[in-house]
Amino acid sequence: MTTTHSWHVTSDELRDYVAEASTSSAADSIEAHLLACADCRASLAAEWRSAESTADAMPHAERIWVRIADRIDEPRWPSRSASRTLYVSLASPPLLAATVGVAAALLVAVGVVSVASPHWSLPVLLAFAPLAPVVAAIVAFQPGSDPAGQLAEATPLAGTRLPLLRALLATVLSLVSGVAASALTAMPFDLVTLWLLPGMAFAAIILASATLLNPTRVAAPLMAGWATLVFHWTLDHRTGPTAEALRAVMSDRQTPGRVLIGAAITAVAICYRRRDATPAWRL
Amino acid sequence: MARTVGDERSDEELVAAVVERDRGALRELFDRHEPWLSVRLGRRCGDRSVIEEVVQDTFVVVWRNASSFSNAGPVAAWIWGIGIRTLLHAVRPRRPLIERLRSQRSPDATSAEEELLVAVEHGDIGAALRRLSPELRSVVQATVLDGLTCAEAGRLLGIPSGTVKTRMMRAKRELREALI
Amino acid sequence: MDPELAFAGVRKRFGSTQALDDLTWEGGGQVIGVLGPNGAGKSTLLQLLGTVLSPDQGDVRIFGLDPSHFTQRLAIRRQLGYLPQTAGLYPGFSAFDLVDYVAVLKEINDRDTRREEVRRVLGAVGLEADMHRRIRKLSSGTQRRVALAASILGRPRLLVLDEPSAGLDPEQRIRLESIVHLARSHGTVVMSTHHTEEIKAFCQHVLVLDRGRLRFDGTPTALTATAAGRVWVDDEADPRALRSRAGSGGEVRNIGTPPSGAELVEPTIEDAYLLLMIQPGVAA
Repeated sequence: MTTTHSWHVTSDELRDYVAEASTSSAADSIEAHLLACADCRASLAAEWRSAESTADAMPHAERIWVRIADRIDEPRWPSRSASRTLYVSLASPPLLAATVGVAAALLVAVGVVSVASPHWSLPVLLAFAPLAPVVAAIVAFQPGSDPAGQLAEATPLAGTRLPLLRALLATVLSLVSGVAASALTAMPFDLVTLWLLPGMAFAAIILASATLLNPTRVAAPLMAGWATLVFHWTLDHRTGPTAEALRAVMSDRQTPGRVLIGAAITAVAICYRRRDATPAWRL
Repeated sequence: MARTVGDERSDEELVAAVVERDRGALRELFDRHEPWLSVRLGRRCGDRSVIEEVVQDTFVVVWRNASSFSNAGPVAAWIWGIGIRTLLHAVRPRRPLIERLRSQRSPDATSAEEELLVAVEHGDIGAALRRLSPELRSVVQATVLDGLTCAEAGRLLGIPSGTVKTRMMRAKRELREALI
Repeated sequence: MDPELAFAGVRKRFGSTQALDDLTWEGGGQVIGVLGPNGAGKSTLLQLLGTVLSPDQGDVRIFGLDPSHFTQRLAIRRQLGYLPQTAGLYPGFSAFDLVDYVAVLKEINDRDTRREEVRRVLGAVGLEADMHRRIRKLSSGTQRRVALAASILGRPRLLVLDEPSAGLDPEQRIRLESIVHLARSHGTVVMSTHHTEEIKAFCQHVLVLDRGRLRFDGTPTALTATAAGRVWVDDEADPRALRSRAGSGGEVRNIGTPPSGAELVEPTIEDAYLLLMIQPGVAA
């Protein structure tokens, strides 16, 4: 913006103004003029700085600027240990997106199936709900899940502790959405455990496999196999109600439950034993 | 402080850069506008430490609300508007909401007064204002020159906003007579 | 006293590529440049030092500690700064927030301390003005500087920089030089590069890698000296030379065994590096 002015404030007038010695009406004119005239503002700045006592260790303006800068450069993460850890764990946009996405997909899928074919809603939930914690575990260990990418890997906190914490946090989030999906299908409470157990066991297996190879290679066949098994059981028991059939499979025969618990314990043991093996728990 | 000399950008460009989170642009705005703002605020409040606080808050608001700059007037006027309101807030904290609502029945209008004075060459204001009585001049200064609303001017001067309006009308009449 | 860094019989293989082949080396306390063509194993070497990779065979020791051991690795990481070749920063964060985040990961917990440290490192890479801009709005060279800033947080005792000058303009390269010199005053810097002139400017020690093997280990001057009497200039490329390249003054520099009567010149570090690369099997 270039404005030409018919007049400028003289240096005497400016000196008086800065020293608060000008008459109030003169000051009013100067103030109105200063709003529109960059040249006079610059002259005033020079006058103001030269009038300042040179004895101050730090110039007045610099002192104000330091305080402004402190308020602008506000660290995002708190000092307090517990809340800082929580915030930092949540600071993984891809992980949060994946968790929310999987949870939403699960709710929608179960909702659609329960309307279209109530008979199938339970098997669909049982087959796909364990996917949520598994996806969470995989994403938590992908290099891209950290906002600082590979830069974070060599830091004390990020190497192992942070991905584990993230996987745990995302698992909890996905479990919440799974329980919501259970409520949607009006699933009997004892059957909720039917998918909680495989969900946790599969997540542990993925974490353990991440110390050896790319966890996606394990997750895909694992989940496909599980879904096939669930639908197989359901078709096997077409005669009775679905819930009864699945309950029979999981509790009466007991074998699947035992296998899952065994696998989960083994996986946790592998995680612990191999915590030194690959520095970042991934390849 | 090591900085490149002579930022060639205009004030408006600097504000746009601040919207884009350019910290260097804020520093440049601060260097350009802090001196006159400090002096002008200093004429309205004698406490230097309060002024430093207000200047600090003003530029923090500039940083946070840079996108609210509408390009309607000079950047300096926008900064002044933030500065004088921050000062007002610092010296006279706001009244409770319910009281403010009660006094807000009619919207404050200063446009007529502004038009009057904007039409006048800045250099002549002094002569015209000099003839006003001190209480009328303080009202004109707060509303027209400092850009406050009647309610804000009332808070600054410690008088009801209705009184600000009546004094403003009287001042307007006297000014018109003086200028014609 | 243990050397700062030590490799003993280190091997690392990726699929069919032998990235590092029986590397044994000790050193530290200097700026160490790692030179070599693409695929020579530079990044693998730096990843081992950055504790983000473990060797298939052999031992790595950093400050006398074993990075494959969980608690010792943690102790190393508390004194380590690592700039990976590709950082992959989250684009939605501002540079300040991102470096602040890495500072949290580096256990700089107190907010005021963190603010000062984050400002210091961003200032060191010349990002005072741009520190609050979103990373997606920054050029790739500037993003690289954000990562560099994060790597020097907390004044690490070992600073590992994987091609730090890639994407930097000349002015920023000068800044990098002062960062490296400062980092050297409190420890060891290991940096990989493609540019021989950077070795001359930054490093007191140089390692040349080729196909996973250490081909040279010594000072930059010693590397240059290996080509003494092997470089001659001419108006055009000499077919008897192993390699010919254009010199800075329009002349052609021929490298190899000079014919009699050839106009021999002082070798540069680049001549020596090229000679090393075209003489397979000549031990360092």
